[in-house]
Amino acid sequence: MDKIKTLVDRVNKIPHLPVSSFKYDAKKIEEEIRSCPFPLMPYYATMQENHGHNKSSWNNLSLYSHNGEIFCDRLEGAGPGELERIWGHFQKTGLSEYLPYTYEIIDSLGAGKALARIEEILPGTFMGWHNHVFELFHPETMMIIQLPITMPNKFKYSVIANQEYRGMDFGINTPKVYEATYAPGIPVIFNAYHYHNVFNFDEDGIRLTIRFFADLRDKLVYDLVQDAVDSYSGEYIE
Amino acid sequence: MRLILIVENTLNKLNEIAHLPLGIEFDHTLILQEIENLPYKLEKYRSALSNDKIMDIHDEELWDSIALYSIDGNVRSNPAELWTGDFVKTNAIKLCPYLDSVLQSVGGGKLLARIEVFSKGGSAGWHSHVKEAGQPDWISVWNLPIIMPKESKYSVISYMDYRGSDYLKPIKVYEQWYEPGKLYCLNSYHYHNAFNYSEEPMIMVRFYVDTRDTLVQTILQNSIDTYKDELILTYEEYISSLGNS
Repeated sequence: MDKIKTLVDRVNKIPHLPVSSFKYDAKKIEEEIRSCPFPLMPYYATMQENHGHNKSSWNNLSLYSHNGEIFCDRLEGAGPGELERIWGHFQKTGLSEYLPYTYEIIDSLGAGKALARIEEILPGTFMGWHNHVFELFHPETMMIIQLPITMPNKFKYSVIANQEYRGMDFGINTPKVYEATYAPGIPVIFNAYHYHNVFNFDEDGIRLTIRFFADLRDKLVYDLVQDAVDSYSGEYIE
Repeated sequence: MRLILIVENTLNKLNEIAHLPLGIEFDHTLILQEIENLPYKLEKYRSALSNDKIMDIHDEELWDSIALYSIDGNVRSNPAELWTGDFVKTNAIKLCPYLDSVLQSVGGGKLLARIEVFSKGGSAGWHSHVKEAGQPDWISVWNLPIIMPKESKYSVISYMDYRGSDYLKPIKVYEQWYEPGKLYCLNSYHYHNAFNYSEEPMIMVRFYVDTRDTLVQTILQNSIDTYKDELILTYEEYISSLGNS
């Protein structure tokens, strides 16, 4: 457990962690998604309600869900102890019939024990700053893994340190924002410990991604993340 | 039905005002004397609101508190205290007759009331009572400033900016220094905070009132009617402003 805690401490300081040793064919995943008979559906996450943005601009479908439905459940794993309670009790949805390559990729990265979703963020919108550990009560060992599929030019992922987001005097300071764009074909661990957000400032490009949760307590995930952290050469959250 | 509409209109307007002077004055020096004579020590306090689960905003505790009205009657402020319930006098307010008379004269004493002190560098942390902590929308947060160093302030940010800005440019912050001896309503619908940069302590009494109460309603309505300062954008105005930027 100590070595997991050590890895958690290291990964919590990295805003955007590419898993560069792993590659996938983003075009092939996109083709599978676009030829699937189910369109992505508008989604209203609970955390969106308070974030002041156009709620109809986030579409998704479940690859793994707790109830096996393809339509995403708003409360899947949010709340004290809730994700731990349902962890490992997720099921492949009906999309598995249509997306064999997509499942092959996410399964090889440790997906399947918690939610995995196809997600679109439409042009001109954003998600809202939030934090999985403190606001959704997710365990710190839970990693958010993003598989970018299409990435508009003006799309960005952003992270702000917890203490700055909650404590900074914004009347006299602006926080340090750790921004990144993600390249299709390389998985990225998006920091779930600190506050994060995504912005699609593009005029017409849709961001398409696979997002899933994987836990460092799984050896496969631990090894992948340990390797990624050891190879990481970017900036750290102060 | 008419009363409900009046309350709704007042609340809607109140949500657009960051800091509302309530036009009521009191003797803050007398209240300070009562506080200084209390036999109770100010206790270190960390709000469950602003720190979410366990988040440490400061390296050291810089927020002290004494409960005046609480559900369990304890002078030690409870971060997990519910918004509503049978609030009773603590032993502290029983020793502050003038402060109690001020609170009761404006509709206080039925919900939470606390003495609060920020020492140098102290702040509460950004939080919204309504948006993230389940505060009923009929509760209004009022403050009696007792000692307000010039280097102290209350700050409010619209929830749309707080949760939606990309923070590359400064965001609009509604800041105000509260004059000791005057009663203010602090916006608890949007994100708010207080900061003290002075060597002197920042001392205030924070208490909640029920806006459905006729007395409270009258005070608020009169203050809103005379309020001439800037307003926080509504959600619709905010979305529209994004399109124009």
